[in-house]
Amino acid sequence: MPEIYKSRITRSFGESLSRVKRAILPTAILKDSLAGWVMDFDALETEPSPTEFRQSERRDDRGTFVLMSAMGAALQQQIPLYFASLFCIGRQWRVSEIAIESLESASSRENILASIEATQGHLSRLKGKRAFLLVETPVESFVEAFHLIFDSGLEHHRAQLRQAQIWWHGWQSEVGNLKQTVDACIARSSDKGDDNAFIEIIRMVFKTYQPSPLQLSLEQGGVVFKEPQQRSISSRVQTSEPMLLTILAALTSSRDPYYFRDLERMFYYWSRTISDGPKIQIALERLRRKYGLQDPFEKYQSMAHSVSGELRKLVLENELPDESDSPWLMAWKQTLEEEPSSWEALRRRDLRSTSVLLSFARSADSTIKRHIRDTITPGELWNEFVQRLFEDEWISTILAQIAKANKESESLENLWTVDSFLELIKKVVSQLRTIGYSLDVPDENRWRDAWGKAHLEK
Amino acid sequence: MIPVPGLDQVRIAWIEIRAQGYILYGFMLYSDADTPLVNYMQSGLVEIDALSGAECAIFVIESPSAKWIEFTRRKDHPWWRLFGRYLQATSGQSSKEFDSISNKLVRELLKYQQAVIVQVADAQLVTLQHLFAPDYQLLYDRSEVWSVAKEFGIKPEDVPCLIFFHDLDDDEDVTIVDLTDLRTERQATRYFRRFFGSREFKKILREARAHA
Repeated sequence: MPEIYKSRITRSFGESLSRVKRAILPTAILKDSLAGWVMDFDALETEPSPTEFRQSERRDDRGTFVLMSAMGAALQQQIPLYFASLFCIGRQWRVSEIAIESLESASSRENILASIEATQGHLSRLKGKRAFLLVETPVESFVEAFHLIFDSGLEHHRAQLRQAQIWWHGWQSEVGNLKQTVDACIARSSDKGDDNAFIEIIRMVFKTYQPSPLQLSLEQGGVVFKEPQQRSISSRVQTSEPMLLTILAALTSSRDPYYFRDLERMFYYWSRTISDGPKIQIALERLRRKYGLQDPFEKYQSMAHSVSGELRKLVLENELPDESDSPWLMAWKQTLEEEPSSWEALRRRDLRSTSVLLSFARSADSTIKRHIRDTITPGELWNEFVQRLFEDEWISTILAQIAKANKESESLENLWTVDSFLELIKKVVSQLRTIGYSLDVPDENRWRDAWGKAHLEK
Repeated sequence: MIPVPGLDQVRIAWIEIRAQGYILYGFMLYSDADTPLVNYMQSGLVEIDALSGAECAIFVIESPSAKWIEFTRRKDHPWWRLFGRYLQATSGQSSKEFDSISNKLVRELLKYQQAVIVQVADAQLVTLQHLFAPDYQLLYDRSEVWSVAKEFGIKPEDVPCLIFFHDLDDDEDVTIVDLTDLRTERQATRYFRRFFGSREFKKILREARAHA
């Protein structure tokens, strides 16, 4: 009888399991703050307590109370999905990484020969004519067969890894939006006249009634989720029906004397939910069949290739019927640089440095790509459209940032000059041309005028 | 026997079943590279459930391998496009593409993927199935075992094992049953039959009753 012994663990078995769960996720996920938010989510903290309800005497206080309860209930239904998908994505990522390493190592001739010897030894102990025939096969045929198998295995795991990373970006995007909504609603809930909190919560509640693009994409990849009513991450919480609570919140709302407006909004979102669900499912299935193992956006990573009509077509076909992004589009957007904001100041940089210029070019390239599905005006040619995006979306914002920095600067040495600004534009155009853009150096007079105006504005 | 789809589901399953009279819980800790146990778990779940009795529930991460292959076929999944064509060819749908000796051999090796041994590093042998259709929910290999064994107060070389505990939330000693000597599926079958009828298991159960 094998050994049986006692072991002392420094915490409860449940806590040990929980630590194990985290230990087997990729570091990128472990370090992510959104992943931490989902893993540490406490359902009890999201709902206001009944005592608070009794204490809220005014009607609008009670409306806010019910609205926050609806938000809590919606979260209780959505978080378990993101919790479960985090582990699916993380495990596929981690296991594929290790399997790729193992397959690469197994592909060396020395290891293949050792594998053949071990396999032949093992198969010779099996009964059956086919196994016997395998043992008799010449070694070189075995070597070729193992190479074929390992190459297919590598292709499979690389695709699985790519898919896990695409899902991960999709997960970050969906959970990021969810957290932003929750934070905004909590901040706004104290403002009784604020309609936005109500609208945001309605949107969030209705999302619990339709599968998210991430969920659909995971399901198409073979992941099976429990039905929403079966999902729970805590036995202490009795899940409330978020829709019922939202109706109650609308009825107790004091923002509109007839509360019809709130109800109207609710039914608008409800009808969208019902009609969009199947359309999204069909659209995602079609995209999955079309792309298979490929990432259609790979060619268009930041500074890899200029924009093209093909990219615009790709972006448009990856926008889902409810105006959300497909997981492929979400993942691609996550790889682009953030757009510059005119609220921020841009301190003067050394334009002789190649890495500084590359950084500006990356920002311009990402901004153009983020706007690639903007409307093309009638008669506008492709090059004119891209030039317009470059000038209106990127140069204008950079100019606003420079003007802000110049106004805030206390030293003359750090000031941008109009010539340095024009030099920057010329150099960025030249960098972008190296990856295939056909941009012209913008009209100097136009930007000298714009410079003057930007510096006059308060 | 409580098959759960992943580590994150153990707590949920425990909450769901603890009111049903169980006094002792077990957790089977093994990696996807522990082939004899992985294979045993595909067919031995029902037997362990009966052997462990009405008072003991053992959690095991369920293996989706067979379901997975069927799923990939139905959905024309990329996995099926890579490997399924070989598997399909074995069922008589052979074509010119599969006529070369190497392709025929690939087909046969994939058919016997549990018996095909691959050396991935010095003296580190795994099956082809482990490399091609790994179970994402299990620990993958020794490198992962290394990072989690310490959480249970055991050495990495003591995995695979069966860990018995009374309550998920209690700080208490756990009982470890060493399964590292299991070399074949048949040995696993024999071992579990003997273990659950042994004095040792009865003693663990007695302690659990006293604790309850």
